[in-house]
Amino acid sequence: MIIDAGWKTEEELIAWYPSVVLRLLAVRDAIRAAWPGAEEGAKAL
Amino acid sequence: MSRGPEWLVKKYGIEPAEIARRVFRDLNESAKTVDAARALASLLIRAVEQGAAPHPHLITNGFRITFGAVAMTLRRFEDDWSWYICHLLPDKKQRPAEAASLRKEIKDRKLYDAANLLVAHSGPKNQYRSPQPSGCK
Repeated sequence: MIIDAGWKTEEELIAWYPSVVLRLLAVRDAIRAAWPGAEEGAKAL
Repeated sequence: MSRGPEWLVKKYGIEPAEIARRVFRDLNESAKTVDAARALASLLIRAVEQGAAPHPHLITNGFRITFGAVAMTLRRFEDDWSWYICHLLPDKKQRPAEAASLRKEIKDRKLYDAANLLVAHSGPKNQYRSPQPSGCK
């Protein structure tokens, strides 16, 4: 591990990643709820 | 402090609805980046278990690359939150608990500094400043 951020093993780090994904998506969905049509941004890619 | 969508127009000259579209897109892509990091790191672990890596540095540097991508993604999220997202969600009731949880973890694990270290800043902490143009918390 290059940076000591509390994870002891790579397996622990990998197990943490899905919770990050879900929290990012929760913020994304809050933006969509507050700003209808925001999801159009993803279609531009 | 959140200044609301009107402040975004004044600050950036871009309509809040357009910023919301960009934020939605970026959060979507950030989630994909972290998921890709998870999948690639899992492949690296499997390669170790199967003795399939021709050179050890491919594994160690591969893990660094995946973690680095996640750290930089979260650094960007923290900036996006302060610069745009909190103004798009001025009412705290609009803000999901997951945002506070993620931002607390970024702070507690010092991931913002970790990302800075990965990009360029090898010097002591007081030699650089993290930009906080809006002062938004």
